[in-house]
Parts: sequence; structure tokens; C-alpha cells
Amino acid sequence: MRKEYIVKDLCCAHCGKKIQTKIAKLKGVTMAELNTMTQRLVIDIEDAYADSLTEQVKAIVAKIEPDCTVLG
Amino acid sequence: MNRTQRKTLWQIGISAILLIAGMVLPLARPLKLAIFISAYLIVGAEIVYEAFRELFTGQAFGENLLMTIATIGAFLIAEYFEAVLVMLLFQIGELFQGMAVGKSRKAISDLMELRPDTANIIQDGQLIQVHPIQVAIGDMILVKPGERVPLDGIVTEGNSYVDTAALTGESVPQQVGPGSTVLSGSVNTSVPLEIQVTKAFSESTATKILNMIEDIGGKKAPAESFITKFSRYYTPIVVICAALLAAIPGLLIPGADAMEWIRRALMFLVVSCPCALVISVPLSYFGGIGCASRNGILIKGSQSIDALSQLTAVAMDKTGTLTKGQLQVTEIQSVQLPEQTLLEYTALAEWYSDHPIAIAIKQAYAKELEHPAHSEEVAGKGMLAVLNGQRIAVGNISLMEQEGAVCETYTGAGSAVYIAIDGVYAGRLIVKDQLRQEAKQATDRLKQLGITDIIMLSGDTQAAVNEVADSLGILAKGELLPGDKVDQVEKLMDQTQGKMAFVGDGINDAPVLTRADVGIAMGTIGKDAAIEAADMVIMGDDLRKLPAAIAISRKVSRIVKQNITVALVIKIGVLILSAIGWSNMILAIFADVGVMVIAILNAMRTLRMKMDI
Repeated sequence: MRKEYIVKDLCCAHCGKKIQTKIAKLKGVTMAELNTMTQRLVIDIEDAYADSLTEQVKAIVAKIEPDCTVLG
Repeated sequence: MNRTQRKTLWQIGISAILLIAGMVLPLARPLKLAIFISAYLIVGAEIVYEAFRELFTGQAFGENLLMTIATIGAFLIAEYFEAVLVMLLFQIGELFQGMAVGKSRKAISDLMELRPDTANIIQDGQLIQVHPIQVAIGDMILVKPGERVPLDGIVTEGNSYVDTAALTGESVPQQVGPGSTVLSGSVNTSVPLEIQVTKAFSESTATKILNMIEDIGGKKAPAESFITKFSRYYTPIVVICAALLAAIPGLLIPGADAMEWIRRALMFLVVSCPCALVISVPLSYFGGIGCASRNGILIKGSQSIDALSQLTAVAMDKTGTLTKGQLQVTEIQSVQLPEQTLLEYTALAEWYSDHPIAIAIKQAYAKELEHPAHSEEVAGKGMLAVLNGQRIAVGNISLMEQEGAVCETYTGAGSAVYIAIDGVYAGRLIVKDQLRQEAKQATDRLKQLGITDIIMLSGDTQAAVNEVADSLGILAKGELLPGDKVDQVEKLMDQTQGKMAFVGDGINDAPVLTRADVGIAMGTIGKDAAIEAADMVIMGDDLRKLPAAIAISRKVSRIVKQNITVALVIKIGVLILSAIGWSNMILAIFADVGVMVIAILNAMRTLRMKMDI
């Protein structure tokens, strides 16, 4: 399943890469890509793990870039 | 500049004034120290706070932490001025980076605006505003005049015009009514439309376009993956070197000045952030992609930009790419009758036919017929009509044989339509596909760019293909079956030195598009298969966009190379100078923030690029 979020106010490319790496390591995630320019976070995840994804994504973003808000 | 950025600017200003005051005013040492510490805290308190937060959430090697260690270390070895200056310049760099990213986002916002943030769902006669991601297939939505269509769907009520310029490059609004398909990203111009949603947000056309230019899940350009890998190892290595530099010489070398080695180690920490590359390389690529998209060209990710910049060969489809794909009467060869009369007879006979050739003939005649003759079709051969008691046969050579009319077979480019009156050959019309106006300019510009191997691949007859190719001064291969095109493309890929592109209409040539280094589809938005197979989509049908896109991608590649070279040379140079003690804090800061600013400014040139079409 493909999920999409907008990570608002993301301004540091380095942090973006960190967030992407962390999310890619989540259980069931087969692909994660965060584009600093468009602020789009696109995640491919196995259906069985998809339910808790939004919470996990929000937690990771809050930890690495507390100023960002996750939409979607 | 947003509010946080303005605040940072104030902090930088006040801190800078304090720093200068601390330097020039003849004050007592404790007072000077107090001024430096307040200058440091004003500009750096947030960084120090972030550093501790990073530390306690287990993120080693964060840039905030590195800067904090470097500056606090500088304070401890009594380099007060340097400590404040490092923090000050670091903040200036951060501010600059934030502004650059913000500005770039604005430059590409046209693309992001393809997808509106809200959709109006119609539920029990009421409108509910939701995010398009929450709309399900089958839901009814309302799109008011002036609004962008959020999701693909079918119109159920309302007759309006939609502006599809953002999707197709077509500037004339398209008429839609109940039953018409509308694509997300187009703008409703006049009357409210009720639309039944047929595709989810993540599958809608606008999302597909965004996925394409971001190349979600795709391979990145070698330069971009290099930076990702490089930044993963660079920071830890430099930090470890810094630790060794601080500890080992002090222990091993008798009489070594421990302070001096710590100072050198701190300089390492300042240079340890790969920011200049991490931000500027993707920014350059995206600037190029954004510039292209503003001109109706979608380029799939950084990898396609790279490949495009290295093109040396281009293969093109004929029909629909170099030619209009619409037939036109180009010649009337009459035996005895005036040409107009022959054309009129032919148009009369063909009046009820919808064959492309018949349409071309009717267009050439360009007049309304008052009394179209009674006519009937002769399957696979043409039309028979009776006019003023004369029997008129219009069709191919076998119809002429059937009529007993004697004539030569036409062997030139295009197709011939033969006319016989009462069994006597009266003449023929030559119908041809027309070369696009821009085709010659496009191929000439490709040659100017050093792309010498240009070949046209077509399923058409060799004669027809040669005529088009000769007028353009390119090579041609005709009578190809769809499978043959793949073989031809592979052959060309072997022959040419650089990369090779294939340009097609994207409908029947998906395998070729995928096989070529750069698959280019023309005028195909709304045809998903083409978007997925292609590396580049030219919206509309202007082939001159190809040389323009190549020129842009070359500029982008040049900028990326410049940035990588400059950043690496300066950083590694300063690291070496620091290790042997020939450097100072100012130089280290330049290698960090200065290089980043230079790289970003250089990368931002891609945002201002103009495309020559």
C-alpha cells in the first residue's frame, strides 16, 4: 500500500535524509522517500503494518525535526 | 522571509554588534568575556539546546552538536572571538539555507499547486470540505469555477470549460459536460461541475505527475547517490579524526602544546558537516526539473537529467512526432479536367466516408456541397458515385482495374487516390502526412548541441520516410514492425558514445521508451502507461522542447559538478591545512558556511534558468 504525507516546514536536507532513513527501517516499509523540495513523504508499506504507520511517522519527525508538522 | 527567519536575523544582528563591541572597546577582561558570552548565547542558545536534544534522543553527529562542541571548546581554550564568530556564521548559513529552500519551493510551487488541498464532497445535498486524500472512489465532489479539479472523475452535472494547460500545455480550454472525463490538475473556468470520482488521490493524474518528477522509488543520479553515501561516512570520519588529533599528539609528542592540537581538532569539527553538498545537489536537479516543468516538460528525477545531458543519439518516431499525423492533399494530377473540378468530384464521392484520406480531401475542397451525390462504398477499394449520369470511381489502384481504367501506379511518398469517370482514368490526388513546422528547427538545434546521430524510425514505407528524413537532413529507417524498433534502438545504443533517447507518442511504443536510455513521450498526459514508461514527457507537441531540455540538463549537470568539486577541494584542503596547523578558525568556517553559501547560490542559478524554445 502506498501512503503519502506532507512534512510541513521541513527546511534541512540533512534532517530530511535522517527522517527518510529512519522510516525506511520501520517494519513492513518497503520504500520511503522524503523530498526536501516538495516536502512530500511517500511510503510503500505492507498492508499488515499500515495501521500504525501515521503515528510512527509523526513520532520520528517529532524526534528529528520538532518544528515540522505532518499532514495527511 | 518568515517569522522565525526574521527573528534569527535580529539575533544575528545584535550578536554581531556585541561581537564587534567586545573586540574594539577597551574594556576590562571580565567585562569583555561577559559581552562575548551574551553575544554567543543570543545567537547560539537555540543551537546548544538543539544539540542537547539531539544528544538525548540518540542522534550522534548532528550538525548542531558538532557546532556546539566546536564553539564551547573554543571558549575553553580562550578563543572567545572565534567561538562567537563560528556560531554567528553558522546561523547566517542556516538562515541562508532556509531562505534558499523557501525561494526554491516558491519557484516550483506551480507544480505543487497541481493538487489543491481541499475537495468539496457532496453529501445529502450539503458540501463538506475535506482533504482530497479522504475522498473515496465513487464519491461526488463539486468543483466551483476558478477551482482546480482535485481528483480524476467523470462529470455528472454541469457544462463548463476546463483549462488543462498545466497538464497538456494546451492553452485553449476544453469543453466538458455530463459524461466527460476530467483530470485532476485542470482548472474549472465557468460553471460549477459535479464530478463522480474515479481515482483515489494517490492514483490521480496530478499525483502521478508529481511522482514522476520526483521519481518516487526510482534510481537517483550517480551524483546524488554519491552525495548520500559520502555524507554517511564523511561526518563520522572527520569527527573521529578530530578526536584522534586532540588526544594523540598531546600524549605521544613530547612537549606538544595540547591546546594547539585541541584547536586544530575543533577546526575539524567545524568542517565536518557535508551540508553544502547535501542541500545544493538536489536543489540543482530540482531547479532544472522545475524550470522544465514550467515550460511543459516533465523530467523524471535526477537520473533522467544526467542521462539527458549526456545524449549523443536520438531516434524518433515519424507519425505524430516529426509529422502532424494528419493527412493533407498535396498534389492534384489531372489528365484533362480542371484541378478544382477533379477535386470536387472526388469530394462528392467521398462525402459520406470518414476515412482519414476522405477527411483530408473534404478539407482540401473546403466548400459545402449542395447536393452530395449518391455514393456507395466498395470495401477495401474506395467509393462509387453517380453524378449527372456519370459514374465516378474514387479509390485505390485495384478499383481502377475493376473499372477498366488504365493508369500507372504511384510510387512516391504518401498515398494516391485515383479517379475514373465512366471507366476512364481522370487523374489522381496525392495525400501526405505533413511535417510539423518546428521539426526542422528542432533537429537543427539538436545537431548544434552535438547530437549527430539522429534517426527516424517508422512503420511507414521507405519512400515516405526518406522524403521526411531528407528534408530534415537526418537518417531514416522505414517499414519497421513495432518489435524492430527495439532492435534499432539497441543497435544505436551500441554505436553511439553517450546516451541515446527515443522520442515517440507514447501510445504504441512503451517497450521502446523503456529500452532507450531516455524515453521521451510527446503529448500524452492522461495516458498513464506512457508516463510510467517514459523518462521525460513533452506536454503539447512542440519538438523544439527536446533541444531546450537537453540544454537545461547540461547546465544542471555542470552546476552539480562544479559544486561537488569546489566543496570537496576546499573542505579537504582546509582539513589538511588544519591538521598541519596552517589554518585558523576563520578559514574553517569559510570551508563550512562559506562553501555552503557558494554552493547554494550556484545551485539557485538553475531556478532562474530560461528555456529557449
